[in-house]
Amino acid sequence: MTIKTMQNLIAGEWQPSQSEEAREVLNPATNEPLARIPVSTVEEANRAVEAAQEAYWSWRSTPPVSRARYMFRLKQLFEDSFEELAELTTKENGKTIDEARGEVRRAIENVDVACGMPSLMMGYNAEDVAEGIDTVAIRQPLGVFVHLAPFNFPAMVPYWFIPYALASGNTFVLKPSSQTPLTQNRMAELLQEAGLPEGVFNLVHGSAEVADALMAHPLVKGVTFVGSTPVGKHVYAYSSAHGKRALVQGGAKNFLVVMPDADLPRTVAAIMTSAFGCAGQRCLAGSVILAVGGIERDLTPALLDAAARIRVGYGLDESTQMGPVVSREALAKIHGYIDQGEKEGARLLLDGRGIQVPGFPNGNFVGPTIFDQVTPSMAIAKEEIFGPVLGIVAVQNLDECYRIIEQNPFGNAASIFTASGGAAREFSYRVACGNIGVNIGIAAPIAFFPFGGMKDSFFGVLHGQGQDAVEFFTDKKIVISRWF
Amino acid sequence: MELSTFGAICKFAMELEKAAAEFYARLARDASPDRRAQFEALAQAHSRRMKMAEQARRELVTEMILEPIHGLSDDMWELAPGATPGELEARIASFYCAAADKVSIPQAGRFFRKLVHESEKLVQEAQALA
Repeated sequence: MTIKTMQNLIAGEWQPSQSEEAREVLNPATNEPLARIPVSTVEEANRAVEAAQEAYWSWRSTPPVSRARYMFRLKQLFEDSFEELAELTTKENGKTIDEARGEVRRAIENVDVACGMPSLMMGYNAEDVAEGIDTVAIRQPLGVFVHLAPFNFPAMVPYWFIPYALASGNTFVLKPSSQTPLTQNRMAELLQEAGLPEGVFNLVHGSAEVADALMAHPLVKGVTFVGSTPVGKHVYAYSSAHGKRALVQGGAKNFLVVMPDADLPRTVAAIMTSAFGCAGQRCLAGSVILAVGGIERDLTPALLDAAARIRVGYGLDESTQMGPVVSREALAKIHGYIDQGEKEGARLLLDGRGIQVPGFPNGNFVGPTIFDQVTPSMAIAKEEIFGPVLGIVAVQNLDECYRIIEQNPFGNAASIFTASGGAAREFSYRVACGNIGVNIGIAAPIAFFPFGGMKDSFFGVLHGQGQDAVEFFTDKKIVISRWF
Repeated sequence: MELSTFGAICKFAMELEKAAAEFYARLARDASPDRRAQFEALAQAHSRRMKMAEQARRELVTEMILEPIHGLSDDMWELAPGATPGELEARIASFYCAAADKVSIPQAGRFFRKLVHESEKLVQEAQALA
C-alpha cells in the first residue's frame, strides 16, 4: 500500500514540502500508517505568512456580508462531508465515530455562528460627545493569525478560531497537529472548495520549529493555541515576546463533586461520558470524583458496574463506546500513572491495563480504570493524565471540595451533582474554573459562548468561540469627527 | 449487534427505513394499478424517514448523548420473512418507542417519539392495504 505524503497549502496551492524529513500519521487502533506529513521548513512557514499577508488587504475590504457567504458555503460543504470528516477523525485520533460526529457538529456550529459576522462585528457610536462632535467605534480585522492545533479534537478545536478570524476579515495560517493532521487537511480542501481567495487560508505541516517561526514572524498579528500547559506557557511567553496577541488554552484536572442528594443513576451516566468519553483525552474530562458525606458507598459500586460494561474497541465500529488513545507514548504515560497510583496507596478497583480488543492486537487500548482511597496529594489526583483513569476521593463536606479544587493549579472545569440549588449556586460562585457543570459531566460551552479556563489552564484575556473570538480577531478604532 | 450508542441506533433506524422503502417498492411493482400508488407513497414515506434518521445522527449528537446505552439490540426487531405491511410498521414503531426511552437527550427522544406517532398512522394505512 502506498502511503500518501501530505502537502502544504500556501497561496491557494497544495505544494509538496522541500523538507526531506517526514513523520507518519498512525491509526491508533492498529498503529498502521495512514499518511505521512512533512516536517516543513521555516522558509515554507514564512512563505505561508507572506501569502496570508498578500491576501489580507483585498480580503479585509471584502464586505462582511460577502465574507459571511463563504461561511454559509463552508457550512454546507461540511454538512455534505459530515460522515467523511467524522471517519477521518476516528481513523487518526482513535475516538469513537459518534464522538467524532459530535466533534464535527461542534466545528460546524462555530461556522454557523460566524455566518452572523456582519452583525457580530458591528461597532457603536455616540453623537455630541462634545457639541457638534460625534464618535464612532469601528471593529476592524488585524491581519494574519496563526493557530497551533492539538491532537485531541482535530476537527473542532481549529474551528473555535478559523471561522471567526476569516469572517471578520483576517487571513490565516494553520499548523495542524502532527499526530492528527488529516481531518484539517480535508477541511482545508473544503475551505478551498468554498471559494476562498488564494492565500486567505494557508496550512503548513511541521514541528516546533515551524510553530516558533510562525509565532515570531513580524507579519503575524496573533496566535491561538490549545494543548498542554507546559507548551502553552512557552507559546504565550514566546508569542507575547514577539508582540502578538495570544490566546492559549492549556491542560486541566477536572473535579466532579457528587453530593449525597445527587440523582445517582443520572450522575453515574454523566460521569461515564465525562471520565471515559474520548478515552479521557479531552481538557474537559472529569478525572477525580470528590464524593461528599459518604456517597461513595453507593456511588462506587454503581460506577464500577457501568465502567466495566463500557465496550472498548475500534472507533469505526458503531457499537464501540470507547476507542484507543492516540499513541503508544500516550498509552505508556497512562500506564505509568496507573502504576504510580498503586504505588502511592490508592486502591485499584478496575484496571484497564492489558485490555485485549479482538482483531486489534497492536492498538493503543486501555480500558476504563477506577481507583478509590485516593488522597488529594497523589499524582493521579493532581496531575493531568489525559486517559481513562478516574480517582475517587472521599470528603466530608463541600468546603473540603473547595480547598482541594483551589489547591490544584488547573482551572478548566468542575462539576457538581446535586439536587440542591443552594449548593449548586455556591459551587458556581466560588470555584475558580472557566467551565462549571451543574449535573453535567462535560461542561462544554456551545459555539456562541466563550470557551476557556482559568489559572494554569488558560493564558490570555479573550477566549475562543462566540463574541470573545470576535473581540480577539478584531481591534476597535475610534473615529472622532467634527464637520465645519 | 448491540445498539450501544446513539449512532448505532440511528444507523439501525436508517437500515430499517431503507428495508421498509424497498419492501413497499417491491409490493408496488407487483401491485394492481389501483394499489400501486399507495405502496409507492409508503415507500416514499420510508425513504424520507431514512433521511430524517441520517439528519438526526448528524445534528442531534452532543456530549450528553454520548452516554453509553444498554439493553437494545438489533435482533430484537428482526422482521420475519413474509411479514405483512401492518407487522412491518408495528415492528418499526416498537423500535422507535424503545429508542426514545433509551436516549438521554430530550430532543432526540422527541425525534423518535415523532417517528412513533408517524408509524402509528402508517400502521393504519398498511393494515388498510391488507
